[in-house]
Amino acid sequence: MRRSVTLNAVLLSASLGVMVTMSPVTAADMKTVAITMIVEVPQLVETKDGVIKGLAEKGFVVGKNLKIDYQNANGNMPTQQQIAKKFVGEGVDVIVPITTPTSQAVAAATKTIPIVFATVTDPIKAKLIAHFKQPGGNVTGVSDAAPIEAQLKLFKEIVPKLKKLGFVYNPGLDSSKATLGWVQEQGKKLGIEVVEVAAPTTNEVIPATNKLVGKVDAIYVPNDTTVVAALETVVKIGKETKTPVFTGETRGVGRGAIASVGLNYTQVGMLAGHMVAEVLNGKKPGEIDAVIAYEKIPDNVVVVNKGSAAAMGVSIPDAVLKRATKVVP
Amino acid sequence: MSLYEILGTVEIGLVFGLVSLGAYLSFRILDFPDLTVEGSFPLGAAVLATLIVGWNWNPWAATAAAAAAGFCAGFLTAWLNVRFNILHILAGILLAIALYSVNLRIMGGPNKPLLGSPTIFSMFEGWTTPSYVMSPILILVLVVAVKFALDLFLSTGIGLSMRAAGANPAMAAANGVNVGHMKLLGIGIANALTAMAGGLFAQVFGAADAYMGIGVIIIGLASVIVGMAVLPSRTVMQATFACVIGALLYRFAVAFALNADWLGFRASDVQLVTAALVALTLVGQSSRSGMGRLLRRIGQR
Repeated sequence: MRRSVTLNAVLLSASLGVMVTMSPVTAADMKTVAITMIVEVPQLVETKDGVIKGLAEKGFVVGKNLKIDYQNANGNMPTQQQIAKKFVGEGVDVIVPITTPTSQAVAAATKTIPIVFATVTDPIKAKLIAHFKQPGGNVTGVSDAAPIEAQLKLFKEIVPKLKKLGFVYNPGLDSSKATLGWVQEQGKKLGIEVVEVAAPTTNEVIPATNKLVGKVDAIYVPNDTTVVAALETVVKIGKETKTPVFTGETRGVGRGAIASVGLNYTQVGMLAGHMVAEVLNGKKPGEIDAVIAYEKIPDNVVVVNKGSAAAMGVSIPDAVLKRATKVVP
Repeated sequence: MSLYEILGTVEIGLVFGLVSLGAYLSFRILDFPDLTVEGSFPLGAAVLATLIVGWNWNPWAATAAAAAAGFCAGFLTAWLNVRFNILHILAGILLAIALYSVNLRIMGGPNKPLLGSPTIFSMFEGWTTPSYVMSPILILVLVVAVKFALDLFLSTGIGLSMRAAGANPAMAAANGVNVGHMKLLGIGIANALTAMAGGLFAQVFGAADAYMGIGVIIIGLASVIVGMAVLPSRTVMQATFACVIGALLYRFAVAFALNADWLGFRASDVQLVTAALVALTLVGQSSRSGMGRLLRRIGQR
């Protein structure tokens, strides 16, 4: 027993030694941008790739004058915290946290290293910034709030009698809660009443959706990872009961929803990438306005699904078909 | 690995030392596989953040309140088990599920930011020694205090009864120990420790989040097992020390995994590398396995 304790101590100190000597060697003109996210899902990875693309557009090319240090927390918040500490300890030039909790962990870890967040739905509520214009401090970034108004208008074009809109969501997700508020707010202007049902886990999506059938003119599935995971079942219920199903995210249309207006997450990332470039060129993050992506990206992506529309008992007007970025047959 | 990162790792490791102590109390002392932890960790965070942000509580009082809330959660789990004979694992799962909704109610949403709000670490602002050095020291003091308090408690009459109740319930009952009461108290304390850890973690993390509890039970258990594998644990004092060290080792395994890119690992391999490191530690300890002997032979050379 005693011997093995010593052995372990030796192994531990050896591995620590390796770790301590591993600090990165950076050339003077080489900039290091650290990117981190809580978990790898397609939109977040697209955001990350967009950041790198945006940086390249502004002259910061990976391998030439830019090093990207990328980490994801595998869904684990304590690990996310450790990643934040790691980046701060390495003294990288800019940290790009993707998603709300990730950004909070990074913001808590440093008050000096510039932070440009991306894909945070409501950065003011998350206390990352106090206001969008010249936020001050070391934090700025891009909000990925959904273009709700454009979405609701599109839904109304396709379902003219739309008065009651079902909203299936996981109340445990901050972004979904925020989206619900915006849909209610924008819906009021368009005379649409929102009927919400909660589905805290993917298993509860079916009963939640069934509760809406007959009570609503259409169902809206927000950009909610829990509900989106069961989108096919929602679509199936929609087809069986002739209830139109729309999504807050365009990818859902390929999976059977009728239509959506969405953000191109590569472009969201590129917006952040441009901001990072400004910081690398010497501007303070606090002097760079934080932005809402849909206000800056000129053309939102409109995707429609003709087959699903027919199966759910509606037809897509020609005007919509004409301006659609993509039509799923 | 920078000094800043090492201190950050120590900080989180120590916070999880409390979770590990809680897991030791429930799993080892009381032989009660308690899964409430998955809910009581974010419960502590939620209570603390809401009291500080919404009610302007003193961060220390809020941390204590977080622990008290955790005690209630653990007490309820044990109560379901003791009073209604609900299987201990199921009772814990029920509480963990329920606490998810409770936490959302407490916070009025899934995320409560603490950025810019006072925390127990705020007092170090303006000190010459930077906060990233002082914070781990403060947590170390707290965790050491909790460890010795737990040691002391387990050597009192009630503590000894509790150990007896876990080790041999029939025997303990025959000797006049109320096994049910011991479970109520013990699981309560275990969850108080976990919720306190949750409260501390929220202050380090900068927010309380409904999803903070994911994997906490696994980390807590792994820490207990790793700690007891590398260090002697014959007495309570040794065992609680081993638990805290186990939690630190676990966090260092994660840190190592995060820095393992030079070995060709990708960002998404962190969990795999962490698991492999923990497994290797255990294999290295098991004298019966060939791998253990092999490692030891290498070690002797």
